[in-house]
Amino acid sequence: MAEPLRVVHYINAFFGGLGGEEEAQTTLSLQDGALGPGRLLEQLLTDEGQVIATIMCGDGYFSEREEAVVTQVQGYLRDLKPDIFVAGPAFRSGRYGLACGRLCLEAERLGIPAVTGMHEENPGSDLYRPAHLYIIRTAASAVGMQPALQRMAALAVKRGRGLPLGTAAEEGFLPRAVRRTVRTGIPAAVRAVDMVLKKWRGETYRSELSVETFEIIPPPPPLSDPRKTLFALVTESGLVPRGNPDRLPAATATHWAKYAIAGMDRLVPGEWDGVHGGYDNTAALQDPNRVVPLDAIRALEREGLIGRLWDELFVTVGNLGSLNAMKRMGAEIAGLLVERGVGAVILPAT
Amino acid sequence: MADDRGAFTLDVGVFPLQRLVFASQTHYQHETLGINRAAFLNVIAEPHAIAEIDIHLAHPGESCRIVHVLDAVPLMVKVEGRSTVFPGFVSPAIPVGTGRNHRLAAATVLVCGTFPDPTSGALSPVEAIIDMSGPAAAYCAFSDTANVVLVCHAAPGVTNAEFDAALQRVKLKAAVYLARTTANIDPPDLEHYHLRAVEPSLPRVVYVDLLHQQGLMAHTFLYGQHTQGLEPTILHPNEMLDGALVNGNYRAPGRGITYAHCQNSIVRELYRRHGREVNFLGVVIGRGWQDTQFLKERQGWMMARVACLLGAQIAIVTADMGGTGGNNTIDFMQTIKACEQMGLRTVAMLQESGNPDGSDPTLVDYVPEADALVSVGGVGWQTPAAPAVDRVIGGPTVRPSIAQDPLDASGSLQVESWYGAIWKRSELGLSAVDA
Repeated sequence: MAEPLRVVHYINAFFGGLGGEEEAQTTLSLQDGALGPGRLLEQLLTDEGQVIATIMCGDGYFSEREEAVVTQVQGYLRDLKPDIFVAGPAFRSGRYGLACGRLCLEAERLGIPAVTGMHEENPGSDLYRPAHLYIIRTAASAVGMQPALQRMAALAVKRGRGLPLGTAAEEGFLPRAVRRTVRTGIPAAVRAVDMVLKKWRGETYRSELSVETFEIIPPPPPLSDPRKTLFALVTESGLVPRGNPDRLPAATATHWAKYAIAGMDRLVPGEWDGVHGGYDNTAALQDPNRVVPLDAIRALEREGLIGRLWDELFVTVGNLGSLNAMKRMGAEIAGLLVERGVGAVILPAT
Repeated sequence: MADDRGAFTLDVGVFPLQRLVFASQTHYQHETLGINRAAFLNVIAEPHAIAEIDIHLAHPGESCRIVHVLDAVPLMVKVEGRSTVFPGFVSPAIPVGTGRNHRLAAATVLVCGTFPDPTSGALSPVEAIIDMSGPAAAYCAFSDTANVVLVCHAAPGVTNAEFDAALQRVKLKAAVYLARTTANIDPPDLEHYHLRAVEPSLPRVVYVDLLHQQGLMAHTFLYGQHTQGLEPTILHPNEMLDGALVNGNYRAPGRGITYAHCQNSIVRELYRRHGREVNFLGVVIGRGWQDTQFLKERQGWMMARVACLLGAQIAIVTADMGGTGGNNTIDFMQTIKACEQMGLRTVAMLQESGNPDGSDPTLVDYVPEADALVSVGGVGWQTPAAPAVDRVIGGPTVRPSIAQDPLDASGSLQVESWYGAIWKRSELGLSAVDA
């Protein structure tokens, strides 16, 4: 028999048994052993795990002082070095769910596997599922405590021991924006006709892919004075100097490059290649300014309608880009531009 | 007496094939196809555009890798009826879907080649590889068929467009020539394809496919003509079986195969259930990969409109036979949306893409109407490394990405350039789940 896993459990003050008006403002505390639902959790863990400590905090206190609480909890986790961190379950309680999600994320960042539980409509689920956290699907209220903790305990043991996990449906966690190829043993055409006949008859069917909605990126506010702003050109068009010196790929790029454009009035045809595999680049090669409008921006610069244009062009390839890689590259490029004092970016659509 | 010349009734005689051999005579006997190399070359030659054609034979289980694969064609010939198979290429563009064909089962003509002029952007071929054995073979279409491989070398001075036009003729003439060996033999197995009138209460179903068409290297041909300006139209499924759609799309190694158009798995499945569970009305095709948001939305509505005018109640939607990807995901989703909004119960089938650990969104666009999706799994998640092989057909190197130097084609490979992978995955029954 392996050593029992050392579990640290997070609960809010309400589930810690502190009722009344003041419970939401309960300060952060750490105590030995299990408390509240942690006692049931410990039973369900059987010999596989032991709740060595319970962290408790009022939901209001957490939401008002989130960063300070997080720092303290990080300290607890560093000292306790648990094998697994369990939070909640929070059911449909929004503030509790947000706290559980945030603390699980922090535990994962410290290398401690984390498991929580929420109802799928808990805002903590919307916020933290895309961060790939394991959130067991629960009922809306504490009437579902027993089955929720049962699944959380089972998943905690598997994760704590590094055992292979089943699918989201098998383990009972909410889809966490991770997909894996599996064998069904039935050709796709057969499944498609089966599914559409069920849909036609009004029977229950299950789509094999429920799509996550994308983050809405609001347009930034207008510049206060473009004439005094340093501009930069960024492109995902894959327009690169002839020969593609940085070996940008035609698709699924994970790196970017920058090229000097100081002193250039326009991009000269013949000096540029288009490596992006997603569009017909014939027109772009005939006149690269039509994907990266250096000529037009220089005209605005000359007319004094914009401040100066930064001396480097930042390039990657957007074709079939991984969202995570694109976010990272965007942040890397933005970081450099901010260091250089750039206040506005022109990112022409390709 | 009724005139049945427009009846779209097709019989297909199917001949088993185990072995391909070079022989003194081109001849089919005892499940073996003998090929007289000189006579074969004489029939398929395109001397103005192709200087040389190397012919190779590849069988399942061999330590053999085929590279720079451009297309795969079933070995078939029309032995009775107007027109020919592959109408518009092998004959004038006379409507097909009737008469009698002969087809050699589990056999293909594969065409391989390298284009003479440099290419870039969306109109350039992408590396496509078939391993005939080993762990990657399970993910390659045509690792389990006997393949006549034609490696074509461009004549000096020809353009890419001229070379490509010649490649279409070479592969289709080859497929017909080889299948003609069965013309005077009674087939051991005869398949009958006719959309007979059925019980009117059965739901009326159409199959809706967006074709990959963007230009040279990304052509899908209908009756011998690319589909660049095609407005959505109707095909009888027998026309697909007869090769009305021919692939000239080399953009995605996983997709775009003439063989898969002719043996389309959804067409076959709807045929199988016709008269029992469904009333299969036909196929709606249109061009995907439209150039602007306006055209993508318009195309969605035009596809749905044709399906409705056919009287459909149910639509099964694919793009490029189950592949979509990149900007066409928008065309695909707009088609689903339009079908649902015009009252069709719609299921769509697609492959997923994303990063290797599956933690990125696997689709680049989505509409709420896409509430019934069938996945054929994701690229880049499961294909094992392929070990070195004894024999390579098609060239000494492979270049799966322009960001990498070419690799030794005979060495071990960890790539995702397997030919026909999406079609193969759909046949294998792969899917993807939340994990």
